Amino acid sequence: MKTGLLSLNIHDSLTFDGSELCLHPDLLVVPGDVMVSSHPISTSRKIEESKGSSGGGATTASVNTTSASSTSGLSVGDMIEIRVWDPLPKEHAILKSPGSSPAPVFRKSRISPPGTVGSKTTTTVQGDFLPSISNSPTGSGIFSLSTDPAGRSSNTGSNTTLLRPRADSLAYSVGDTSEGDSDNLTSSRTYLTSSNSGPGGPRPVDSDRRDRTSLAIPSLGSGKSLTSVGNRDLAGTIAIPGLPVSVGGDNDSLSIDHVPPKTVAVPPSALPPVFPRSRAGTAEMPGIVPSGKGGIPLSRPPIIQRRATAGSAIHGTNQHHSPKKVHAHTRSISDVTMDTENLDGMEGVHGHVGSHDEDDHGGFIGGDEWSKVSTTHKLRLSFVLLVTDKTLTSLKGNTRTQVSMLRQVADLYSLSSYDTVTVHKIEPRDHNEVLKAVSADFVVMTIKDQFISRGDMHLFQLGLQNSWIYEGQRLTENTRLIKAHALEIRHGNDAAKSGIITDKTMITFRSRSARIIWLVQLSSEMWDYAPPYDHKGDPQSICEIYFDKWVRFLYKLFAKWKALEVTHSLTIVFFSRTFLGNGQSSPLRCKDVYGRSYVVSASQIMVLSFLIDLSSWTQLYMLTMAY
Amino acid sequence: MDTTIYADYGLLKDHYKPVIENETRTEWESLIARIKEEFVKYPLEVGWNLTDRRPSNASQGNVLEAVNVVLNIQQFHFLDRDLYRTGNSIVVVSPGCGVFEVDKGLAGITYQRMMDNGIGSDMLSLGLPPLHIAPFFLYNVSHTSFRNLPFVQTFLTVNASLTRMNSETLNRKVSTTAKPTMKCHTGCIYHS
Repeated sequence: MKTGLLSLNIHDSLTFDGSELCLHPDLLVVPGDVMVSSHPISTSRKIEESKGSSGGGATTASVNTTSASSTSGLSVGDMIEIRVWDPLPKEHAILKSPGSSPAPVFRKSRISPPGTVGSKTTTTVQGDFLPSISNSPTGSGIFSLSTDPAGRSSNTGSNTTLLRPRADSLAYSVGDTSEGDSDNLTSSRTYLTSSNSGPGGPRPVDSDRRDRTSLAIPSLGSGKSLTSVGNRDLAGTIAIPGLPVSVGGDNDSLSIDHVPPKTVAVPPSALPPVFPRSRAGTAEMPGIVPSGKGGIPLSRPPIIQRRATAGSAIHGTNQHHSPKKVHAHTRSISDVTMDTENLDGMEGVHGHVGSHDEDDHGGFIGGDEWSKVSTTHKLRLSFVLLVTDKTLTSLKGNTRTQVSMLRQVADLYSLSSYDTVTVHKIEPRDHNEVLKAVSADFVVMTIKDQFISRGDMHLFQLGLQNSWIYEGQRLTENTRLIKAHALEIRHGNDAAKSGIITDKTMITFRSRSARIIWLVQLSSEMWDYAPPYDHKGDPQSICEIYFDKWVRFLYKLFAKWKALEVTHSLTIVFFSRTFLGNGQSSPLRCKDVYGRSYVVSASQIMVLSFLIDLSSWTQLYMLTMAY
Repeated sequence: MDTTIYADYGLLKDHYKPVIENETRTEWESLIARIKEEFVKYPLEVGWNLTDRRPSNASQGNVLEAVNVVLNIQQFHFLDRDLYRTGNSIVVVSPGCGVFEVDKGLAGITYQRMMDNGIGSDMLSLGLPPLHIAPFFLYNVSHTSFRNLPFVQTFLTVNASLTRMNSETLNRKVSTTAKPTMKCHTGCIYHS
């Protein structure tokens, strides 16, 4: 289960101490439908520009809770993943399409992108599309482009609701084309320049999803088959055989249908309704292809033509968003929309397009949501945490559309207000799986200015089990007056910003206020010169006696102590042994390993009355001798 | 108690001088001047000279005795406990390389006391690390058995490969059940 795009709100403090996150319990809504094509919109929430082109800095997310009902919301103890998204520039968004390949298909320049011809697949795509584009009636295929979704929707069974996700994604992409998250106008401008910059620029392509190709194959008669090709190479090879660059050619359509970026250009009319298909189905591809090759009709209309047909409908929907923006970006907007559409189907096919997430086994619920997000956004990071009662009760602000987060946590992940996030609930059956990835294996906690016994440490640790902690968190145990500070969290060999404490978590308590005793042996070597080499980090050799070497270490250590703000109690004791040339008697005569006798100077020991219990010292040596 | 004095080797005298007692500072560097001053004064105070009162070298020093002196205090840590402190740490700073000639009996007692009181110790050597394991305690020839003392040896010289070895770390098993472990936040000792 996942939410739509929400905006992140960062607060310095939340209603209750100890809560880091505020979520509305009903944020997660379970859609009733599974088939994307059947009911694609019911779960959609859209982010729209509340301020439009008025230039307000912030976008707020409004959630369309049009879906019928939230069958199960969040509850305490749920494991949720928060994903943070970065909006992509528009053309990136295009390329982020299901089988994201570096080839930008639609360009205003209408020039085949030379730099992006990296693979056969790409080549065939370009060969295929360019003519059709150039055939387009006008360069300003603006509105006709944007209409495409409508046309497709009509083709896919007059599902009017299909319009909405497109509009949503469209609206969203308009608003957040730039990587920056603040200014809409700026972002629009950014997009324009980037689109003009041509195809040569490097594009972030999600390598994970490269291999995921969705193909809308005009079915062979049944009219219903959306197949996916899991292997891009496969698609490439399929498409190779002498692909002419003719429009509407037999081979053309075939290649188009099998190559990821081509999904952009699949004629809506040729698109059959999609239905979910198992991932394993990709294996069928070879079988399907030949038949499809023969079966694909030549009737595929020119792309532009199709768009034109659908233009009016979507145009209407766009109007109320922001006409200016539509004018500025129509072409790519429509592209994105179309991608989104295909991705919707693909979402249904793959179950999870995200490809990297471990929690998406829950099928393709809300596929349209996901597709929208993944086409227009790049996943910046995600982290898993647990829902506590405070999470759900400390509501702040408009929590139905926002996720409130404690600043401390947000800073940890470098999040800022109005970042775009989605919240995903991890199914209980996946908990163990996820825990393996996000558990805190080692935790270092510091304690200061208090005495905590080992038993309290143990109980404190037990109490922390099954809780989510983050780096820098202050952990308190009021009944035992324990105030700890999570200094470091490690998962395996890697440092982690946060983690979930399990029963296998090893917690190390480190005291910032310990009693430290240094025993410094002042033997004759202390006045010797240390080797001048072997000073790592020091550019030049240093000639110093061992004591100075130690002092130099003290400077570093004390600097570190200062940084850590420790309140140790430090005691330094110099000790030495003196060989006496003349015999002096002492009540405490002892013999060393070589049989040499020595004397423990009682007078010196008495000087250290705070340190040395003379009687026990004597007893000790009695024991020594008796041993 | 053996009271025999061997004139061949003369007598030995152990000195222990507290330089800094239970200081807590925010500006720790201010202690260094005092440490240096005490260091300069120390030979005079113990009366070292070049003839009949000579300092021992590190390996023949009184390391275990010094540890036992501290243990005399630490073993009563549960009495009149300071409720604002957690943890004890003993660090032995030696200019040698971690090789010590010790009395086996004393080593046994020290081991037992440290184990009984749950007090470990760190050892910081300023010299170059030897190729063998350290700290290395040499016993009298008649004693054949060897026992590791609960020391953690660190060489200040070696920055890249700080060695931490003692019986505890060497024989540590990966425990399946998590137990709280306790370390003092000395910070830099292991990361010099």
